[in-house]
Amino acid sequence: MSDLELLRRHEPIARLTRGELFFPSAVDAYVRGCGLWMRDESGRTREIVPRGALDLETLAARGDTPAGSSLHLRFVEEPLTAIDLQRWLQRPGRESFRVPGRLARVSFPSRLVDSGFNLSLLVRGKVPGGTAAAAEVAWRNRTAGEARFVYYGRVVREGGWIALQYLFFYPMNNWRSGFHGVNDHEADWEQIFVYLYEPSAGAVPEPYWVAYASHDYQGDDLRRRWDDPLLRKQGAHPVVFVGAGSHASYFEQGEYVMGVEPQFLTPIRKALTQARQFWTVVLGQGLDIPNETSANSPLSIPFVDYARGDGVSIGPGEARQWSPVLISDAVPWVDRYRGLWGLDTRDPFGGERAPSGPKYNRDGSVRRSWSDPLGWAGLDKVLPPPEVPTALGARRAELDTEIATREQTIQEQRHLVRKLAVDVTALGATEYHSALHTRKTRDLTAMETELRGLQSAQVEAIETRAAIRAYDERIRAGDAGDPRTHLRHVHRPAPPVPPQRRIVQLWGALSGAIALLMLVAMVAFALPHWWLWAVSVVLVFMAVEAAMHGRIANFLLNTVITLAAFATLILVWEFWRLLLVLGLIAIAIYILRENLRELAKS
Amino acid sequence: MDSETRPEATLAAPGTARGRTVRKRPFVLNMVAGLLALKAVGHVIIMTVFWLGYLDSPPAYVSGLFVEQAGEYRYFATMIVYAAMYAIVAIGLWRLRSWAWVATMLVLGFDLATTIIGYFQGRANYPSMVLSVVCVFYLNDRDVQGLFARRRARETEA
Repeated sequence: MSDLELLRRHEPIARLTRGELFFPSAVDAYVRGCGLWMRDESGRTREIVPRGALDLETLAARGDTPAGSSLHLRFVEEPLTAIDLQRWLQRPGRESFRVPGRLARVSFPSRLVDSGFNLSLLVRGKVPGGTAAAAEVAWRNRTAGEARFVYYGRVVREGGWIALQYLFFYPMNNWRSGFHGVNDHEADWEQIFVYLYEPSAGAVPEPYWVAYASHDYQGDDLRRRWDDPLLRKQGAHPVVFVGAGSHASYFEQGEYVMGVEPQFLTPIRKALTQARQFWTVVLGQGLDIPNETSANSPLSIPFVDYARGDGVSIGPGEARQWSPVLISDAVPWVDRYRGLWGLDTRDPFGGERAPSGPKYNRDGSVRRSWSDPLGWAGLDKVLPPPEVPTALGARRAELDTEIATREQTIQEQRHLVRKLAVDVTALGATEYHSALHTRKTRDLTAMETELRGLQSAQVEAIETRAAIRAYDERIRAGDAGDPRTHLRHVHRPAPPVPPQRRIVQLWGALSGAIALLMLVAMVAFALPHWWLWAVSVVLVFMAVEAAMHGRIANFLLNTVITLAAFATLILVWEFWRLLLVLGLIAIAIYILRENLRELAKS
Repeated sequence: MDSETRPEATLAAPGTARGRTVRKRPFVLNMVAGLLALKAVGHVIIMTVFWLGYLDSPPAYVSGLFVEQAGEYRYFATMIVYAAMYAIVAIGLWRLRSWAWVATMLVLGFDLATTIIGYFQGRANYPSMVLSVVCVFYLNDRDVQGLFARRRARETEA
């Protein structure tokens, strides 16, 4: 079976979200619409191949750069102006994308941090507003009447596996501007893998693993076994749910909440978590044991990746079909162009910079997914199914030999230890042999330790052999085990959000700015008892927040606990001497009681 | 918390005595309920003493924020409300009602707020503050909350 036939046999079905603007596309059409730019050592950028004169061949030919320089493409020449952007937003036939208010889902501190993140975009390099709209217009004009949905496929045979790599190119990632996400950037490369094995020599390869590239996940967590009930398939084709704007790939349909926590807030979050652990676990207060992750941390910025799968579908059995293109190291534009595939904003966090091509990272090094597709998904350690029984048999034979050899060594060692023990006992009978007795005792201790080590290694080997025997029996009975045991972190979609009232969404959007304005007012008017005002403002905000989310009872109870904690501080402040004395008296009584009890027993 | 006050330890399966369900309460919970009942009775006694003319003005540590320099009728009305509030939550706690847990916490929160404000105004009432703090932390204990939560679950099931 040829590489292309293999790719087509298992090509995925991509389900995008309604409102998505950009689809897996052909790179040749995109490159023809781009100019090639170079940034030199001094940081100046200049166009080295103008728009219209660039194609994939030219791109490959201009791939080399002098030291200190970098290359990038630019697809959008000028972002849309504010007026054009409004016209674009109100264009007829625009697919609307509606979401329950992201900010109304989370706590007030998260919203404040989120505002800080938005402010940071003013000083970081970012894709200018109106770029995504301009890209959509330019791409629509460029591909008018030619709707090709392309994947770039590659087949790698390695370590008994056949890795089918499917790469998808999108002209733009508009997650931030289109779907309230983390970032925007020109051009987007995404990928998934299907791993096959040959049941027997010459037989048709069968799929066994599937791996999707996703935010912040790596290794084993990227892949699912073909028989995993949570992996959606249609025949021999896995289904990919594509994140709106981000184009990240997901196994399940839904909305994925991820908390992006600014690094400088991590110590505060950890301290808060520890305080809560102490409060609930050590002091036994409250009903819930905190289980905090970055996604539900009160200090993280809440982002949602919408992989609803309710938009365009591409693939076998769908209205839109794939146009596959085979790529490899032999394809010049893949191998020779290491620059970025879109605008280089120089964002220090990287989120707003365009990616490099299918083979390279932004720094020009080779991507692990390209050079080591097995290791990328944690498959280096995994045997293809037909090889498992043979490997188990070989390992059992190895262990049998190891156990038999070690048993012999243990017998010999025990014999030596016993001989030495006889000597030591005999020499210990008289003071005249004390020097010899001491040396032989030391030798005996060392030999005993060695014997203990051999015996524990023997136990481990016997236990391992038993486990391998049981594993072998399960495999021969056709039981491959739980398909999810290799997973450490599983990103599941968030539960559906109930519809929110308009007032809750409005409060979510306005509360951060109102809090800031109130703070400004307190400073500007130099209010007397400003701290009382500050506490009152915080309380009012928290009360409104709680009322909006129907948690007013919780708010009141938390306020009572806070008051009790504050009153405790007052009492400690006022009576610390008395408390110290009482504490010491208590300790003295305790010691006295324990000692007297011991005395009574003896 | 010792085994005597741990609800799991003391709240064995309810038995029956003379046809009525008997449920054991932790000793400390009885104390809290008793304390709240005493407060209710105390308010009634002070109100009576004041009404009979044995006091010239309401005592500050009882009257709190809302009745100072208020008229006599308003003072009586407030005292009646206080007494009723304490009596209701005491009975609710005694009968292990889930609403009583919330209500007691709110009443204690109100007490704490008034004592803290009083402290900053130079009218510290430390005994009241200590009792409120101890009661709040006791009632917020996971085992005690669990006791009321189980009760609520049983009520829902029924």
